[in-house]
Amino acid sequence: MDPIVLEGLTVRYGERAALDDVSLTVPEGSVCALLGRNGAGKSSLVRCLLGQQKPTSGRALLFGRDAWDRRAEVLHEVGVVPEEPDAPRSMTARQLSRFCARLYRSWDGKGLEERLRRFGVSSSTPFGRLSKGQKAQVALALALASSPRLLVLDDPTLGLDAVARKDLFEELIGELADRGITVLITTHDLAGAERIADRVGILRRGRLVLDEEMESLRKRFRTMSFAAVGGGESRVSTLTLEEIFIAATDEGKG
Amino acid sequence: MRGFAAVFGREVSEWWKSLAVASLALGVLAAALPAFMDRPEFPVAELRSAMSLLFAFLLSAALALLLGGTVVSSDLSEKRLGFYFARPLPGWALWAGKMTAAAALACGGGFLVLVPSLLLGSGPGLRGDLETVFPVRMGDLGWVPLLGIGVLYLLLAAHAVSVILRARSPWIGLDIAALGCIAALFVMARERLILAGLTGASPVLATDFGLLLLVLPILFTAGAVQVLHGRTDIRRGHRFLSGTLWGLLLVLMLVFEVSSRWIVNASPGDLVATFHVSAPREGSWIALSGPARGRLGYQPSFLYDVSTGRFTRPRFGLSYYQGPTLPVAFSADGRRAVWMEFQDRPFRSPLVVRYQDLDRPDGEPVRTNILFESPLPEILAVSPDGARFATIHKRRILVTEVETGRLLASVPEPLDIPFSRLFFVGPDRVRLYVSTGVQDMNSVVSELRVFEVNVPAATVEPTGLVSSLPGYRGWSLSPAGDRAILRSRKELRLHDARTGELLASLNGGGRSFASFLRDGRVAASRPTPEGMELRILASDGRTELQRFRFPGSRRLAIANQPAADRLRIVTASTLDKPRDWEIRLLDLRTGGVRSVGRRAMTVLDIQGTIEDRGGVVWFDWEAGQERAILEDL
Repeated sequence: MDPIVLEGLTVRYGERAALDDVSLTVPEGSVCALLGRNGAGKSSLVRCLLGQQKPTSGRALLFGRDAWDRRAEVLHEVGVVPEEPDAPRSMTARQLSRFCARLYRSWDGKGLEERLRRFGVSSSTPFGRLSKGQKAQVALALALASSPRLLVLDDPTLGLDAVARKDLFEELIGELADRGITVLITTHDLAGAERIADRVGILRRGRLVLDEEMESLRKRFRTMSFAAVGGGESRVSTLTLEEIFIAATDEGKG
Repeated sequence: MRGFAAVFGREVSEWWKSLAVASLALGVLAAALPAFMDRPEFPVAELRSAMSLLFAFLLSAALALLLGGTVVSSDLSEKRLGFYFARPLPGWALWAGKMTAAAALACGGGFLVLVPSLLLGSGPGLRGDLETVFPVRMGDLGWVPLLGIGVLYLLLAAHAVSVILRARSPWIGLDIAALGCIAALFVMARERLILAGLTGASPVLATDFGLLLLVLPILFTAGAVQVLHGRTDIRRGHRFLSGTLWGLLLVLMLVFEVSSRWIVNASPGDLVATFHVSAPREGSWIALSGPARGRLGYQPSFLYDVSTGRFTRPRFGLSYYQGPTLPVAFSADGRRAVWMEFQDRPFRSPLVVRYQDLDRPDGEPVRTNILFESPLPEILAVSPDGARFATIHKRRILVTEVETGRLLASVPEPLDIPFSRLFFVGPDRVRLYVSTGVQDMNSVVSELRVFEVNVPAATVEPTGLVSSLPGYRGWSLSPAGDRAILRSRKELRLHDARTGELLASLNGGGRSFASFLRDGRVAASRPTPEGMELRILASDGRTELQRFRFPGSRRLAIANQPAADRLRIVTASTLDKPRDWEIRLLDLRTGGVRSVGRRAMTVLDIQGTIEDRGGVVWFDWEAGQERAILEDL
């Protein structure tokens, strides 16, 4: 069963459509990068996916179950790293671990402590006193400690410096290699996403304008590159994900 | 439940240390403060416990407001509630866990304040005058559930207000409008009950408290719906909270509104007992009041036409407690009823005089412009034609035109003695009877002093005196007001009602009864060796005109005179109470007696009778039959 299925997902705020009839399937084991400019609807999509927001129409299914109606049930199998670290500021990572351990069916507290040690984050420092990068690392550690089948990362590198971004993605890549978790990541860090994603979706003004496997996308844009060169010197010039993103979302050129 | 326990534990662990320190510090302060207070009339231990309780209440209330306004709503507004909603944690567990923890912390903080006083040894609480200011006592645990309810109330209300304010949504305008509507509905319905006489009494307080209790689950439900359906979106949550809160409150207030209308729309058939029944000698209207069935102790009063079943709802029953001795007065011809009732709120507004013309098919109570401020008048009399009324107010006898309110006479009350009675003995003459030397209402009167008010001349002068009558039980005036029958335990006397001169002794004793007939003759009963006999005497009380014997009867009383030549009498064959009266119709021309039934009755001197059970029975003299008009009261 596909971990994520979106069926005609629409979210409206009054007249404005934050998401407009978005349908998307993320197969098991794949890493899907969801890209889009600010305000494209990424966060609304993630909130619907996590059952935090009721879609105006359509539905979001997690492992075949409606995310709004059966949120608490399906989230046992989902780890979440939010855009803004939102854990209670007074709680230490250890306390957060203890709290979460009571909610999940399985909880790897030792693994979490080990991961934080690798990150160099203290387990006894209140969450509110950690740096932004450390908060993201704690959030990732919490998300992975429940051994999820699906990991949802909502722009986890937002505001992080280059080193923190690198650490986070390396941890993620290692985890993916070890466990083969399905991942949905929304990010502005296109280079980072390119390293891990095997599928890309691009949102533009609430509409999903691109949903394709990374390999297929690269081939398609390489072909276009040949055509552009024409009868000149024969060179293979593959567009980067960033260039593809700009091409897909550049409103001026369509 | 694991989710609930996790959230509860997390909230408590976040707050308990700082709260415990603050509470204990406050408790120490409360325990130490009495040592510096200069109140030697109270033992220090009592002051200490009172201060501790006061501080505990204040702290619990403050914590309830603080926690209610933050535990969910600040997380929501700071976008931190997503942490919980990104976990496999049911919304109800989040809401209930946080609120239960907040309530436990608020109550627990209050209890911790008491600890130092309890350790030092506390008294029961304040006594004397101060107990009325702060009536809670350490040893009485009745305040514990009240504290819990109060904490929950503040907690949930603070949460609702906090979400509404933090959402910063245009919906706040609708919130204010809804609050206004609901407050208006509440005030209207409550005012209706108060105006109807459910005043300052436990029914209204019970209603208020009941409504407050019902608002609690509504506040809880509204908060739960907000969390369950609004989740991390504060504006959406605000809409759900407001919709649920105001919707349910509106339903509650509409139920209250409908209930209050139902309560005050009681009809005579809803009475379960009668506190007062009176009727004129003529006509088919009666005045009655009593408690109504299932209506929070509401005691409506009615003017009720027994021939048609039509009724109106004057509020004379209310003034009965503090106002006139007679709650309603009828004109002699039975065509007008006059009474006083409170203008607005009972016992807090002036009495206004109202009347109803009973001979008009569509007659309704009419308000006059005659008002009486406190102190309220004590007595009310109506002229034979119903055009004037007399009362005593602020030690003056006032005679006023009913319809215009024009004051016809105002004379000083000759004696400042209670138990006075006023009677019109013509349109321009008002007689005042003052009982002096009264021990109590039913025992001894040493004398009855008579005064007469000359309305055109606006004068009052003494006209007579009835000397001591041991064992006094009451008296009645003849229809023309010229004679009076005085009843005592052993004697019946006929007096000149103006001068007090003794006209005749009607003989008799304890079981005797006497009454005036319409034409001024006197009907008097007395026991004989065979039973009872009824004598019809001339107006002088001495000349016997007729005599009727009722062998085997031990009691005989005259109920009323439905026609000039007919008397309705009641007899009983036993002296035991309650008596099973046999009702008989006596034809004065032929001497024929016809039994029309048996009833247990208490009030006899009106055309209707009141049964011991409180039912009202009417005698239809045209049909010659008793008719129960209000049964099973």
